[in-house]
Amino acid sequence: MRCLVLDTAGDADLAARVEHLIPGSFVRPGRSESFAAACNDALKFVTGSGFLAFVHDDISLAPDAIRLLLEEAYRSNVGVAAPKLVDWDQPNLLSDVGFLVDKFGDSMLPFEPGELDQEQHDAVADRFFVSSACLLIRSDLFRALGGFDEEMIGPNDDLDLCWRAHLSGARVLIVPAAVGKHRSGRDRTAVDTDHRAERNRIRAVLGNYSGAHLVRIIPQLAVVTVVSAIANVVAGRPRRALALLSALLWNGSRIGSLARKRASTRALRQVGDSDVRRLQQRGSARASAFIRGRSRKALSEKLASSSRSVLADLRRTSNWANLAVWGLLFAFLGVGARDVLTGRAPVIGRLLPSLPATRALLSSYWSGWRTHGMGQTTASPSGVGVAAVVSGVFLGKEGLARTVLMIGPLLFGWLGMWRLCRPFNDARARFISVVVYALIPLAAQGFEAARWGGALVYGALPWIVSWLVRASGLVPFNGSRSWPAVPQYSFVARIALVVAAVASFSPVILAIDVSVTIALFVAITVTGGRRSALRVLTTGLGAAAGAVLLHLPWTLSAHGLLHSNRALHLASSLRWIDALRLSSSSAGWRLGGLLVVGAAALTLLIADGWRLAWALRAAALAIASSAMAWAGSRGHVPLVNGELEALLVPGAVGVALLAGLGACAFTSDIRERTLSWRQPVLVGATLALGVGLAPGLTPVTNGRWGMPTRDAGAALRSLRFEDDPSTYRSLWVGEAEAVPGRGWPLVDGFAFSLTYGISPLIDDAWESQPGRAEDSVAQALRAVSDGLSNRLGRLLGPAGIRYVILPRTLPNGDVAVIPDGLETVLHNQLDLREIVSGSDTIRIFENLSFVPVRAQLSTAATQASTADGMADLVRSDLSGSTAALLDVSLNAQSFSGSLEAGKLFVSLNPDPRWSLVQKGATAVSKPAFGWASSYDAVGGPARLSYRTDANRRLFVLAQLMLCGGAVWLARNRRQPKSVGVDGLQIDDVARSGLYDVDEAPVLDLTRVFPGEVPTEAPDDVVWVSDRDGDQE
Amino acid sequence: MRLARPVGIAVLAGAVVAGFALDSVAVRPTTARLVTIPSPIQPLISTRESLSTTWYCPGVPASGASGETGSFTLANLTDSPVDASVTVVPVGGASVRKVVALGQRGRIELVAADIAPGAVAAAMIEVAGGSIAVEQTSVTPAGSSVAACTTEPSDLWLFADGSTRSDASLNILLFNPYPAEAIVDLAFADEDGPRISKKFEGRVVPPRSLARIDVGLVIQRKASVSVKASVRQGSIIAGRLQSFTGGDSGRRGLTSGLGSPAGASAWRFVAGQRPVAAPTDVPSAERIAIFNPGDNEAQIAITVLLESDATAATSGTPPGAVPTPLTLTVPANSSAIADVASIAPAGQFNVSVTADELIVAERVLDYTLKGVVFTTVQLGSRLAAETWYFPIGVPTGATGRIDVLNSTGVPTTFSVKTVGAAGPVAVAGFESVKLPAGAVVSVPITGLSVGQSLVVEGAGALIVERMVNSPAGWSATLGLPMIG
Repeated sequence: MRCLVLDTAGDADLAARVEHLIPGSFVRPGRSESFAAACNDALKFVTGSGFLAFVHDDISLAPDAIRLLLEEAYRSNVGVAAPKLVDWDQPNLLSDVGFLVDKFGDSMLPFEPGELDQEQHDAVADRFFVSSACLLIRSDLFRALGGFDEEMIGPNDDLDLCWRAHLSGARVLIVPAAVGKHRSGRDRTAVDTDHRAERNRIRAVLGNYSGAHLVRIIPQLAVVTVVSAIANVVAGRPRRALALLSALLWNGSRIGSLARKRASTRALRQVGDSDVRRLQQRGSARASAFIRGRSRKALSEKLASSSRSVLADLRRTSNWANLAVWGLLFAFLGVGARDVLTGRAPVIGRLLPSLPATRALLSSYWSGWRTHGMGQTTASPSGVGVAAVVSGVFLGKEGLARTVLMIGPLLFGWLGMWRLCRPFNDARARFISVVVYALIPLAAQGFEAARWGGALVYGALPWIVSWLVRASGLVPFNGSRSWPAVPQYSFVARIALVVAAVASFSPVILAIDVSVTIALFVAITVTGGRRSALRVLTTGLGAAAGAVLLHLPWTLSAHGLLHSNRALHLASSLRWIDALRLSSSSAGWRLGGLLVVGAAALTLLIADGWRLAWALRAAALAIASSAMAWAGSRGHVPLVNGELEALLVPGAVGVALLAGLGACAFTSDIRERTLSWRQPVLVGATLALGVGLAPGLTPVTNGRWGMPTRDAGAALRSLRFEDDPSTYRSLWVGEAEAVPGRGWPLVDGFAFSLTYGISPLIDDAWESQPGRAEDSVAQALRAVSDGLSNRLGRLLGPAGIRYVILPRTLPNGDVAVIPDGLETVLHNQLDLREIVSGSDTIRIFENLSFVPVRAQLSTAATQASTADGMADLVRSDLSGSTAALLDVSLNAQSFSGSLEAGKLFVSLNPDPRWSLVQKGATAVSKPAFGWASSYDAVGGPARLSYRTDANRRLFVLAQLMLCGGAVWLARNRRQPKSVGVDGLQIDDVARSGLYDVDEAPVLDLTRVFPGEVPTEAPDDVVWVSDRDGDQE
Repeated sequence: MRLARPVGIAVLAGAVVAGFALDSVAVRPTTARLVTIPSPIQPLISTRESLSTTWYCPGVPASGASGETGSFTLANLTDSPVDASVTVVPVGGASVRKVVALGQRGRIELVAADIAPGAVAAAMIEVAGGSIAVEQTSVTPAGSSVAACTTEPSDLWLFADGSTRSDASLNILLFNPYPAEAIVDLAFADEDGPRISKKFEGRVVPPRSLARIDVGLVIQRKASVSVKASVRQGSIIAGRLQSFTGGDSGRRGLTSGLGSPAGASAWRFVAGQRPVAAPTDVPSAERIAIFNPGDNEAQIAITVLLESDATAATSGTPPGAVPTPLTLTVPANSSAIADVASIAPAGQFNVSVTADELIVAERVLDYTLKGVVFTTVQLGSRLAAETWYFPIGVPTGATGRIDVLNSTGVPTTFSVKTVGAAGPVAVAGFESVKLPAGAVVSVPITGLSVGQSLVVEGAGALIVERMVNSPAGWSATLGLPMIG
């Protein structure tokens, strides 16, 4: 027997150490891509041997183990054999006796977690597969199989190898007489290996079943995967759910490689699928593991815990409790949003606008020309790009995408709160926190007012707070095995990504991130922990800066982001008492809010230790949030744009945390104490919480989570405007919240906005800097409002404004105030005609002097177009112009048609990137009406189009790279300063004794890596996967 | 940690309390106004530099028949020539637009029948940039009338005086210059109380048209008829064409002009005079017609203010004394007539009408000349201004006077100017006329340049009326105040 050590880490001292411990061994450099690749190197280095035994570096085999394996291999004529593995620290505990597998490749252990080794599994038995931690395989079989599948990096490469061995007719046996000790440091379903394990499992399934069988398996696999993903979400393991879904996509993207794998498998197939299926288990291993609460991750945790039996019990009960709580929350969400889920979320107010086709969105984002207002070349909002991605993900199913985007954040927020409370290690506290957070109706309040920003922030903030408090490193957020340590820059990147994503649609998140950071910084500083506070501060502010960076170049051009629209706030200044009870208006949730906040605040009286410290910090967060909302409603907070609910979300997080900490305090600080005033306080708080939260169920009643029933788009469509909407604009004037899209302030409380046609486009959801054209509209409105003219139609005509619309209803159905006297002023214009007057919701005036957005001007209008300024405009008769270039491209940046000789007028902010091409020649743009453009038309076919700058494209690419970099940073875990051993905690290795050194020095590979002194705190555990040894 | 709880709770409680304190002292935001146009009060000239100005004249006779004529007089108030677009809208006919050029400080008179003949024709005069003033003149066999046009349409028009007796004809003119139709409700009040006729509810006035409503078709044989025109949709300009044809009563006269676009609680009339002897140029009767268009009963006080020591001497009333006001109660939506002579001493005075509700007050003056009673009706003034403009000045072949009231409590001076191409020129003898506090000075305008506009400029707030006496009859009119 010869030993070959493959060095995949380039350790200079390795050869000497191996020679010292295992004289005569070979040390060769191995490929470091994966364990499979390294093992396949054995085919190059080893010739003439009958068997190969692959052994991990965390295995210590009994002296006779290899011999016993070989004997059984000859005796039973097996292809693959493996020893029984027991726990490293407690050899009386079973670790591995081979695996059972269901038809989806999901594996399960044939023994109970924590089961003692009492020789009950000591019979030689067929297994579907055995662990590659230590397996013996016939050399010819290994060559015939082509070795491990090198596409498989990480777990389940052994599943695939054994599966193919079965297909070739070989047996796979567990030989319990041969024994080894295994650190079992890394479970094959541990969180950090989820992605690889799932990818490899699905690759094995897709690669090894025959075609006929695969037809039946694939649909079942898809269903099981999706259901499993949902179950994992419910169980609070969203990353595992993500791993499942991404595994499907990963395999879908490797069709070619899969086809090659299937071809090679087909060549060696000697056994039909029906025979292989007999070796597999019936049903779903994953489902039964979940229900029985003994997934292998749980097993791993249990084995690692000194009180594993208690934890195991808790695990069993918490699975069911998780299921119950999350079932109720899902029901709450589903029933509350039933009309939206079965129908369509309304398009109104500040809710997510209609999404155009994905291609149009991408094109808009790519081009840099914004249609908002009178159009301008500026960085497109990142939200357009995000909307394009979302639209693409949902395959253009616009209704579904909008529904998920609007309702999804609620679920995301609850999961975030669940995650935030995880370190409390108290299931009751987590339930209470999530339920309190779910029943604080902030998102519903936002939806009622037709605002979406509150829901977005509601979904994101628990995650942000969770990462901030983890960055603090304070107890209990200072790391655990279930919550591995993450470097600070990774927290910064995560928060930056989430803030940036939300800011795409609701920039107020930037102000909230900063305010939450400062509130936590102050609170942590005061309650002790200056360094922790500093970490929170640098993390939060760094994330805000990162989010701004991720939105480049939009942030450079989005002047509107940097100052709040004061106009919105003046009409709705919030009272302090309303802010304290987390209500964005003085209506609704009056007593409930006070009861919930009051009850949660009682935690301050009953908690001790870290619970009291965090209760103080959570209360500070809540008060800071109320102060922000109070000040924001008065226009003192930037970026708010009326989204007061969003400003109150930190308060909701704080109150939910307080409630959860109260539950923790009950478990830790009260239960064991003698009866005192604390118990009655707790009872009172619980009652108050229950009563106060009851009104939080009201969103269920209307089936739309409070969203208005009215759809502004449908209401406008019912007015039957038949003309081509690309030829005119509409001017909306009224309360800032009542006008669609993002407008520009007129006077405090009132704004105007412009829409192409009658309905807003998605680009109208973001502000833009007003150009000369928008300024001219504002000037015209002010002029007639001051009584300086009664020719508003002429003043607005060149802007292509055909309709002047006064909304009389706010998105939530309340009456919108029309500026005093404005209706009369519009009635008194000589060129405006009221066409919709009796409606309770809207007043519409038609401009009799409008000029189409692209028009061939009449003679009089041509003459008038040379003039500049309102004084000239009021005396100009603009009638008689006709719409032109009516063939519009998808992204509204190219117009074509036939022109007559004369003047083509284009009602857009002038930009040299627009060009008119006729008969192969490019016409020169001339100014018109002082701010627009006109071209001399020679007659015949013509095309007006926009040319995107190369700079814009570079910016977009840079932004994508920045996002990619942020994702990479966000995914990073802390790397070890010294290389550890596969599956081992470095400190554990250092502390561990060696197994049977004297008896089997040759096989004890852990001796090869001695003396790795831990340099990190226990929470800085690192898992590595690319350092393995093998033996011949 | 022992101190952490009380200190922490105290800090947090302090923050909450501070929030309440701030909330209680924070100033509630106020919303600025977008529209700064004041509600229409009475015809006036805005001195603000505007982009365009449009004047609306409610209507003049335009049949072209013998003895009947109507015209619109445009006066350019600036030193630059302007083009005015004049659209004449006859009853039942198509409107006709005409562009006329006005030289610097120029004046032009356009005869309605020459542009768009019809029984009655209204006009809309639009100028870009420059500033003009417009008056209309109506002449019928019943009499003549000069009245100001207006720049302000309204959704409410009120007329306090009117008559549908057998010797009278009362027409209400509804002029809609806008491109959308207007819907108007007409309500009436006569000596028997409020009157509502379904026939006049919801009257549609088509876009850019003039409608004439003959009130006598509904309210018949009534000596006192008040009219309220409420616009349900849109805005209009409403005028009155009241004529007395000299039937059994021998009463004659024509009143053609705008109504009041709003009610008010105070009205002022400049020239009041009770004859000491029996001169021909003082009214033989002076009445105040009151219309209360509101839904509440109104308490009215009509006060005669003595203007000079001379008046006091002739009337035997001590100087500065104020005769006891005449008070009356006018029910909701009703009208009343008060005889000023019953409280006025002989001599000159001016009249103030006050009320606890928004009302309309008009003065009805009867002049007796050679046995014929001429009647003219004039709306009170709600404004005082330093400058008053009369685009028509002195009509051809007419005599008359300007009555200037100092509405303040301090003495002031004023001048009277004619306006020609060279600009305003002070009339000799009236370059600086002293005007005591509360006093009225009458300036004869007979003989001043015909065809020129007149301007009265004061050092303080004035109210100025013009009385024109032509062979066709008498016409009392307020001037056009110039307001910045």
